[in-house]
Amino acid sequence: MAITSQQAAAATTREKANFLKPRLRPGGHPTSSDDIRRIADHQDREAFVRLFADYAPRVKAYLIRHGVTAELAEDLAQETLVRVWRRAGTFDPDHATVGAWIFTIARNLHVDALRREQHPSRLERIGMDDATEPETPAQVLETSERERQVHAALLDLPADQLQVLQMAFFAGHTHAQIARELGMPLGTVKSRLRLALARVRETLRDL
Amino acid sequence: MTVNTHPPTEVLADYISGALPMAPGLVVSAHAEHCPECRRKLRLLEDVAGALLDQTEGAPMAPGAVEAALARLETAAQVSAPPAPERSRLPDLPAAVAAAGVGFRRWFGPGRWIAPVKATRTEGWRVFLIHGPAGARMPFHGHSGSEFTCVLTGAFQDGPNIFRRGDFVETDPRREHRLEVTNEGPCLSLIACHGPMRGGLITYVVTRLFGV
Repeated sequence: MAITSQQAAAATTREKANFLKPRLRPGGHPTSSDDIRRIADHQDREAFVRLFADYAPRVKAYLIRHGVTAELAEDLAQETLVRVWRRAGTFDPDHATVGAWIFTIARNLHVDALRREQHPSRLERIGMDDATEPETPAQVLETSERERQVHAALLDLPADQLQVLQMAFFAGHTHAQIARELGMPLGTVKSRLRLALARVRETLRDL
Repeated sequence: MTVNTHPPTEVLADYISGALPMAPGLVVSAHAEHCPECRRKLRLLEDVAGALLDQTEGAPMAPGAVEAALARLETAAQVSAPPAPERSRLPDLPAAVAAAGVGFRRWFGPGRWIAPVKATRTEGWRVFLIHGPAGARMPFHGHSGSEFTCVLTGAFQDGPNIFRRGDFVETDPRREHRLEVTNEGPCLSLIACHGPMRGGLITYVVTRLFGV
């Protein structure tokens, strides 16, 4: 039996719903951002255990999607959380969400591991965290509010735009690789990325 | 005619995802240091990447993983600030370039030099700084791959378009370009290029700086 477009759309919505699991901790529990603060201020190991439970498996899943072996993904996920511990004092909630901050640490470790494979002494990738200046208060949203809005905006994205974002950030594909993989013109991938970002941005601007 | 002087969104996305090689990534960083608009976009892309990470289903860690991590914390010293970038004898370099390190300058005449940016010669890319005095001609040829440029000081002109400090330029190697440093003063640019260069780097540079 041929799959109707309605069925296909329903499947996509289901997939999307599966992918976008609720992530917020139950009310009354410290947020991940609080935990990072506790680590920075008091070397709080319980806070570390909570963050580890939340993020190590996600980082591992992210690395496996990038084609890293399960064994190396396990090591790098552990290293990512150890770096979170060491760098907790540098986390600036006005500049980044917890997810974004941990993502950049994991990405740098991954890029670094790839480089070590090819070249024994390569420098760590320089990220935006190294070249920032404080934004004016009007530009700074309450981080948790910003986090919530970005999550909501992703849920609202059309499936084709979300797919391109996932392939970019979870499979680590360049936009050219995404186009090849999906068998679509490069221009389509570019416009989906631009539309997706414009939508997320629009949501944040409405606040 | 207006030309785009910012990296396109998909290049910024590749930069944040880690898929963009380090060499063109340095040019993107150099531009972002000057451009609040692109910094906002990069932050937005990081937030999106972070939200996708937050929402993803985790892969279970091996038994004992958290204990192993806790044991490592004993020896993991906490840092309160990122390490200061290496000092460079060239002032006003973008932080990312200073951190990568710049090799020795090769002089080709008064005010005309190039210097390689270290740790970037991979995946077929090279990055270098190129400096020319006011009015220097830099015809574009002898090169067959992608090229990303960020103007660090001064300005250069390509036909009717003038590119100034902070501008990001992606040149199409199939087109003939006639680049010229404007009369306002010397121009320093950061260039990442990909692909073989006919006659090697020196020939390329000499043709750019002297208009041979």
